[in-house]
Amino acid sequence: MAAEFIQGLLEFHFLQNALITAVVVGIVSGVVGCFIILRGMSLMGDAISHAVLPGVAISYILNINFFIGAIAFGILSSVIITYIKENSVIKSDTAIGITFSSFLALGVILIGVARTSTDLFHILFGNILAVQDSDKWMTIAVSIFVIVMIVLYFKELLLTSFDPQMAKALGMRVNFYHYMLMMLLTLVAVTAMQSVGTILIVALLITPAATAYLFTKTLKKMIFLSAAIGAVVSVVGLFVGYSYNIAVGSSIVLTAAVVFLISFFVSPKQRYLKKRGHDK
Amino acid sequence: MIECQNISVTYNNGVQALKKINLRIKGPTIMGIIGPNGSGKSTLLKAILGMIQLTGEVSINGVSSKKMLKKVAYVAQKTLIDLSFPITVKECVALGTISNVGLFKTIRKGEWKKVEEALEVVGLKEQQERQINALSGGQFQRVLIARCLVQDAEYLFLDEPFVGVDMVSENIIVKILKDLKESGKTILIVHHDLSKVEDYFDQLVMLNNKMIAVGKTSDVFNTNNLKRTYGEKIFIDGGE
Ligand SMILES: Nc1ncnc2c1ncn2[C@@H]1O[C@H](COP(=O)(O)OP(=O)(O)OP(=O)(O)O)[C@@H](O)[C@H]1O
Ligand SMILES: [Mg+2]
Repeated sequence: MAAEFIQGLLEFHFLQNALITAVVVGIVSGVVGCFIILRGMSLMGDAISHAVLPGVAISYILNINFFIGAIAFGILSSVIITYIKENSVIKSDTAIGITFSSFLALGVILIGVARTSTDLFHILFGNILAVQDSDKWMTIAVSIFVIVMIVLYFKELLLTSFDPQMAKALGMRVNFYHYMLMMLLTLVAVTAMQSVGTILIVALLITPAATAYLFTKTLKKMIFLSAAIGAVVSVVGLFVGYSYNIAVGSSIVLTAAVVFLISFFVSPKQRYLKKRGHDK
Repeated sequence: MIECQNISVTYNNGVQALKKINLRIKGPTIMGIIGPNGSGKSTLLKAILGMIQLTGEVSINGVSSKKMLKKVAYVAQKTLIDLSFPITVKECVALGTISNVGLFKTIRKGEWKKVEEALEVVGLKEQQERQINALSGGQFQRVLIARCLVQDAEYLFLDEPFVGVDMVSENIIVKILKDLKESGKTILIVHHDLSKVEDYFDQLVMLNNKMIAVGKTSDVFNTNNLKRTYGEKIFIDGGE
């Protein structure tokens, strides 16, 4: 079976595209996901990955690159959520719930108008085997951009995530970094849409990161491990999905979940198998 | 010198946390800030740091405080930090250098040296590779003090640094702070334990949303002022 997969890789351009895109998406989701879970923004990540949908639809309608519409809507939704949270008694999870379900519903309708229901299905659940060269290159370019931003602003992102109070006291623009992460998250959400689909993006963002969190004691190591896990589960998921002819996106997500589950029981931080907890 | 002229802070929810506070802090000194819960102690530190909206004026060394933030090292009330964050002791201390390291640059050798020295001062050199969740409350507070040390700031603002800290750590921290004062720093500490006030602080602010008293500890720390700060319930005679 593995031989068949490798044979397929050598033979079929679409499978090469799928593999490369899946790996790149896995890496970049793993990287950004670390910040998402450490800032307690998993729900926000979920929200934004759903909220980009109308943007994608409008891009189809206007015939522009779907990244543009997606970013506009990703940012818009995070602004709306932050606004509701800060200016009313409504709690943020409620604000997030209202916003993203509305955006998702709007997106479904707009995609229905602009495209066929097959397209809708692919956007919701991913269609990695249909990735075109142009999508692949776009994914690579966007991922490089996201990772470069994180490398450049690493210490600022670290401080604003770890101790926003101190960051504020130093006069750093904590909100700027919040919105920067939201923008990067949106970019990742759009690239990951191809691989696992809108509905499951959040899994690719947080599951590898949460797994890495169980094993590492510095953010840098966590990011590298999370990226590696993201890449590996993407390859395995693609392999399983291709070999058994099942949905690749869901295979990737389930692979990640299995890795997490195993880690949960063996991790030193969890103290399930070991009595003594902390790594000395 | 830090100067607050007529500062008032009202939060969005209508709570007026500070009312017309006037304060002049001339260093080097260790100044305590005491008052009941909700009396605006934390708010006062944040106001001086320009972290919240206020009316009135704050200046540090004669310049608007927003331009002088590098001069101040601040440790917030501990509860706000996520102790399970993946960061080691050493890295946490190194964050103190961040305002001296340019954008897009990483921390250099010279800064790491400062980090090591600071860890030595607070007695945590051996634990430097540990993740912060493997520290006791007192050790973690020392890490935050070390972070202030590498900031090399002229002013230190500490919000309840002794909460959850045992006497050993507390004594280590107090000793460090007294040394810092000797070397010319000015230190503001929000504090709860009234029994230590006279030992720790040269000067004292007694706060109850408005300024009750400010001055040398020996002058202002008396029953009358304590009653006005905490209400009649308080039962310390002459500040025991
Ligand atoms: N972000 C905020 N939004 C609204 N009200 C606030 C906020 N922060 C503080 N307050 C209110 O302002 C008042 C002063 O709060 P502050 O935190 O300065 O008190 P404190 O003296 O530090 O209290 P504690 O001893 O509990 O730390 C309180 O009534 C508090 O409820
Ligand atoms: Mg307080």
